[in-house]
Amino acid sequence: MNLKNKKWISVSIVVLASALLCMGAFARGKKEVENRTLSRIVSLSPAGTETLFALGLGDLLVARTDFCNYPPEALSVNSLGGFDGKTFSLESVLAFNPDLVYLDVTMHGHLTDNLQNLGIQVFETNIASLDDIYKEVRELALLFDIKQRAEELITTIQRAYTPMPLADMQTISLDTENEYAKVYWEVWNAPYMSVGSSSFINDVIREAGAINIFSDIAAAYPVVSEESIIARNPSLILLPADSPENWESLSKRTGWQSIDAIQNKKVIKIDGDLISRPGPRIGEAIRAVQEALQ
Amino acid sequence: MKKPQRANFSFYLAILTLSLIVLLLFFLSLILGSESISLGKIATAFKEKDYSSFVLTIILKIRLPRSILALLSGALLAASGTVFQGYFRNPLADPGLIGVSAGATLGAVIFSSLSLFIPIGAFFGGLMAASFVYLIAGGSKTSTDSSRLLLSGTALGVLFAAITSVLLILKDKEIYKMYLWTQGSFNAKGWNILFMVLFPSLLSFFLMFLTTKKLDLLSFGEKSAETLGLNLQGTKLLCLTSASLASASSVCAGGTIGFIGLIAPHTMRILFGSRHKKLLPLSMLFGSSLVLFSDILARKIAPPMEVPIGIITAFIGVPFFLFLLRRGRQDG
Repeated sequence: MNLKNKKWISVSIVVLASALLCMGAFARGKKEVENRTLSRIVSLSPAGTETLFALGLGDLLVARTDFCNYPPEALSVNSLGGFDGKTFSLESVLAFNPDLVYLDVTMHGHLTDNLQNLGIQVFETNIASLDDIYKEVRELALLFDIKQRAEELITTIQRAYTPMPLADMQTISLDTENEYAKVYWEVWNAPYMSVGSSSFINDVIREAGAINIFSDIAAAYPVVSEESIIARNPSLILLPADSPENWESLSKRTGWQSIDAIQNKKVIKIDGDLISRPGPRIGEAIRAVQEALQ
Repeated sequence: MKKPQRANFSFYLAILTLSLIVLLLFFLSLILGSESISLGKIATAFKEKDYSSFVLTIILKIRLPRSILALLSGALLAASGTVFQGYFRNPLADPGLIGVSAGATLGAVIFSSLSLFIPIGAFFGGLMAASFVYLIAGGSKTSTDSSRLLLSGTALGVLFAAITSVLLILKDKEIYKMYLWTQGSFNAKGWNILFMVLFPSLLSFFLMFLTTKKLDLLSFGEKSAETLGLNLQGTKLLCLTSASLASASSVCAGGTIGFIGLIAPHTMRILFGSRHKKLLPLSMLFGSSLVLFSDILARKIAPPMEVPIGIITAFIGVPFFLFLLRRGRQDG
């Protein structure tokens, strides 16, 4: 066999071997976790920390992140760093010897396999709607057999705001005026970023009795076109409380003067911790939006 | 006498055609956007002259400055690519290669984390990076080795990118915003950005046009060019300053947009040859067309979302470029 053939064969063998190795790595599968009493929880999610405390499980929390600042009792729990999974060490998580880790799948999903292979149970949160919040509260309660407390928490959340008729997004056009107030939630302004239908903030706005002007976009945090903001003419603009922008800076933006919310000075800031955490205070966030709509 | 005339004719024809294409794309950029507004509505709005109507607001206040910025940015990127490729005598030279884009990104991230106006940070970051490269690799009077400059630029570019990453990790709230910024976009760019970059851009164009004869001489090699009377140090200063200024301005205008600086001059060179006096304006027109076209696509692909323009330039630029390379190879 000549040299060229030999080369092709060796290359093929290397490629095949690598492919088999890779498949082997993925095929290892998840280790089964025995059902046992969970007593040491590490929470990598601020919303998760709030939920744990609200369900009365705060005593079991052994570590949290820097951003887990509510309720005040959380501050006395040890912190292991920033929110982004890439900025704290997996070792720090393990140093607290948890048997359950509460994490956000979009931020720390890459840690799940590692933790499970070490025998640690992982509660992955991935919230795209208000219903997801309730579903996860119930799932968490199931782990600790506290179903009653979960239902009480959900009722508390729902009682925090006034129930309103919900807009039927199938029939409503975002370009025209209708009986629902149109709200624009500005995540960022360079480039313009707002929330779409897979963000729970979209649900917060809808539950408050209004419509998110970008609810026709499926993505959670899409970059949106400035001209669409103007064309869809929101009557209320919401900003996170820590944003440096306000009505004045928005009114200076070229072309924005024709927007109803600017003309009526309806640019309102909402506490970012309330509205961007899919946790037990989401009901208060909905009420805050309702108050802004008045 | 016939050959020069024919060559000139095809050049002027190309300039005319490209100019018409640029004008057409500019016009399309005004009437097309995330919001579908029919031509009839536009015509009516202009006739009624109601400047507070949302049609005129969108076209004159949002799309007009944006289109001008896209046109300008394309010309800046293509021109700086032409000059860099000519100076380094390397067809792969790209404004990003010398570290300007990485420096601009670093400047943008620093300004963003300090809540300062990001485009200014980008502009000065780009210039600072170019100065660093020049100081480190090209400072001494005897050193005019262009490959040394290129290597230093690449190395420093990597360093700037690393520093940027460290900053982003420390300030993780900035990560997503900056990720979008590095993809390039004309979203939220209006008249204020245009006024900011106008003077440096025009200055850079003027300076780059001064480099054309020098770049032609340089293509014979540095030694030969020197014996033909070229001042190597002066040429280096002129080329690098003008091209870096153009590059920094374009990053200030639209973020880091890749491939235009590589593809536009290279394409024009394959089609029309390497005389820089012709190559520069042809590249600029082609660059403007590419960026205008990409910006229209960016708004039309998934409205009302906007796709970062850097992604689009990669998707249309690269296959186009590969096609031209193949054609060049078959002919030659």
